Amino acid sequence: MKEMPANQLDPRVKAVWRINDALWITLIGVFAGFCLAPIMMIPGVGTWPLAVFAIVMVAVYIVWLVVLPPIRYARWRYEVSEDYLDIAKGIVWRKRYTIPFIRVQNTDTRQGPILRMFKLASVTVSTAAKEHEIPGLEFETAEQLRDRAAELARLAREDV
Amino acid sequence: MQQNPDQQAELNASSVIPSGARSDSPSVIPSGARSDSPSVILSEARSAESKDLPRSGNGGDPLPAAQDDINASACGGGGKATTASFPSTFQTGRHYKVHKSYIWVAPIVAFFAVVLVTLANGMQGWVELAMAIQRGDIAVNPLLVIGIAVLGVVVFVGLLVGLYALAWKNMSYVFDEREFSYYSGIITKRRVHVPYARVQSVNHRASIIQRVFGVCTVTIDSAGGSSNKGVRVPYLRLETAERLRAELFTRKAAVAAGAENALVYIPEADTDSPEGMQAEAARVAQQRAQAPVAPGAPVPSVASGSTSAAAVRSTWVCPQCGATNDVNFCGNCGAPAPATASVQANALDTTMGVVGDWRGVYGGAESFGEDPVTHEFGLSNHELLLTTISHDTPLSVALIVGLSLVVTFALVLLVQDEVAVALARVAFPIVVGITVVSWVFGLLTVLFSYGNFRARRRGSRIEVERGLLAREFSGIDIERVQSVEIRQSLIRRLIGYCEVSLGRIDAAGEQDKGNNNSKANTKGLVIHPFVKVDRVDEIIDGLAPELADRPRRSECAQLPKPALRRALLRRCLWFNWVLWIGVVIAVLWGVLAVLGNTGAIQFASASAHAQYDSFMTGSLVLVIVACAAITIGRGVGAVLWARHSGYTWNRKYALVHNDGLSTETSIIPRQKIQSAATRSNPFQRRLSLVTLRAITAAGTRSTTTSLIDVPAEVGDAYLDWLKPRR
Repeated sequence: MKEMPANQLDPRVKAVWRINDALWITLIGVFAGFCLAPIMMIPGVGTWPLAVFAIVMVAVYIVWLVVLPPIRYARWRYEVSEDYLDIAKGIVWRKRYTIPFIRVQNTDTRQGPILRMFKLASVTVSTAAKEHEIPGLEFETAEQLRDRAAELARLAREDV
Repeated sequence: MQQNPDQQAELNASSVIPSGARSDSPSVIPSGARSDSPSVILSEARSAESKDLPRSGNGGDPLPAAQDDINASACGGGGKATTASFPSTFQTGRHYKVHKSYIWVAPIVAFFAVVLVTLANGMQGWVELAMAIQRGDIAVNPLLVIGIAVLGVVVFVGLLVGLYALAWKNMSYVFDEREFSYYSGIITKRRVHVPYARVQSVNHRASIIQRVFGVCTVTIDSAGGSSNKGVRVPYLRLETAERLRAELFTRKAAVAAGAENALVYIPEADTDSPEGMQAEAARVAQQRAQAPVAPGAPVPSVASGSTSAAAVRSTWVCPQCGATNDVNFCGNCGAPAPATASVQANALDTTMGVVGDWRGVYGGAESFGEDPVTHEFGLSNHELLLTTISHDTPLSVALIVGLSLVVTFALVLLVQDEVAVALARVAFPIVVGITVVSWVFGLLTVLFSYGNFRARRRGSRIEVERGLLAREFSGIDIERVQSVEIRQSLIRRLIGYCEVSLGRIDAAGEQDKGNNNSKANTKGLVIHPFVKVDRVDEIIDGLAPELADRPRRSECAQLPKPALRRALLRRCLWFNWVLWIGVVIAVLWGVLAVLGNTGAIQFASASAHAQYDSFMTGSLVLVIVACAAITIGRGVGAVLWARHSGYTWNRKYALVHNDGLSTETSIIPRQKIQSAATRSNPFQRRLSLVTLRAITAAGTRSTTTSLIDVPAEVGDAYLDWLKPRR
């Protein structure tokens, strides 16, 4: 197997993922809770559906907030070389991308409220076919990466 | 066209927007280049595009310094002499209208569509109304009803015509200095701008009704990306459409050479301008005075492309049409193609010629000072016929309907109920009849859509024309070819034929949503619908000699051994949804059978019980047989896939071949691979295998070509291959 790309994301991104996932899981959990309510109304059902629901929720929280982020962080790597972007990610399905900068059409930095809280930003590199996002870089790094990609993209051939 | 040097500089600058600058967010690209997406749609009116003022709005105004930068690099890089002149047949800045038949024809089409929908939706209501009238519940005077109906139709059509007339008044297109603009909208004004440099392909299609009036709808596709949109200009005369296409490419070339002021407007050739109309009328008069052509006399063919530019620029007038002096409705009426030795022709082509003469509705594509055709072919009789017969769509329709019939009636027979059997006896022929009719209808659709097929190479473009009734013309610049796809369906594989198409970037037209053509577009541009496998190279070399050093299938490396076992498991077990459905049904049936035998289900009689049992057993056997057959079929496919699939790449191209019951070979230029990826799951990693993926911009969004289970080190080499070379 080829060497992994050199750079890792900013470690703070794990916290971002945790907050983000916690929000989503809570949202879905609340929705599922509403769906559960009518079942609980049925007389004689008892409390076991509630218990099952609680256990599942706790398990989901543990997996997404405790187990996954460090693994995901460890697997997420990127490298900006002179003229291409190298990305490796994925836990079960591991993916590896090579994106030559001459194919890049534009580069964006994005910053949601959670990312801003941690002074992070994500960089999106788009080709004519697909968008590749590098989540959670330190703001400076993100800016540099974006400028670099844009600079290299200027050398691109004009048409697709 | 006089311009001062400053404007010239600005125009030069606009001609070299690096593709990186095609950004929707102005903040991103520091180059200061214009950040237009390929086509910009604005909803508010813009003051008449003044050439003297710097452009404003649209975000991302060019910074003067950056602009000089680009300008300088353009002069260095372009290096082309600006002395070459570009003949133009559309006046810059003039608003051109679409053809007037739009006011009359489009509402009629819309009217029938509305009527059909209303009828279909309110069928029950109509029937009830008719029955009520028949019963005498509602007393009506038939004359009154007819009168009201006629009045209603007249008022409705009148309103529609008025609406379309308004729309027509507000609809125009303009060739500006740097971009093509299309204006439309009665209340909400819409404007679509396409910079010339972004024009990818200009295609047109004509429905049957449009052909009667000699008009067509032109689609302009602009460069790729997910945000690209097509521009559709409806109801242009065929002649105008051809001229528009030539004009766009001329202007694109001029922009690319940085020589916009070298455009030379030829008013006489602009048949949509007063001068052009005068010139045309004069020509018609002269022609009629000189040579009164007898009806039925051979008409000069104009599709040859070898006709000289001067001859090409004059509009041919059909003898019949010329006599009626109805120039507008006569596009040109030449035979569709000259019977040169290189062009294969079939019986339907001849019919086309006759049809063309008959009303002058459609001839071959006339070219306006374009490059000559260097290669051209059509379909022979048997190719057209076999294309039709072996085409997937009618066959799969017939197959699905047929199979479900067999299954249903087998079940009915199993029940052995007299009523059911009697019902089946009546219903069977009817349903078979419907199947046959739908199959024949499918066949005819394919036949008509590929009738009079022509593929040709003209200059840097590959053009395809097809369709017997509705006509379609599409072209693609050789530089824009994203991939070459060679596909074989099961039947075509058995007889050794295949379909060749070119992957291209399709614009998701804003008006095209829900259009049934969009599905056909995903296949790319079909350059030959039915060709013997050993003639594929000949076809590609003829149309696209640039692809000569592409790798061949014989050079493919095969997949490693474990691929076979994995493919069998994958296709016959894990992803064999038929099997899983079968398992579910079997379990369900088992439960029901147990219930029947344990007395949980009460039967009225012993015979009913016996019937229940025989039904359950029979249907279970059917399900098992079907599952087994499909699983075996998938198994065969898996073996074929593992044995014959392969990959290879050389300096400029990658080739991926996926074999199986149906096969697909993709040849992708390295330059067109937007990003390369490998992917692996835990099982693959254990065997150190990966899945190769090549992502191109073909299609409306993107196309991913993948090959499962190549050795991991091959995957690494592939990723390295895409890295820019020094």
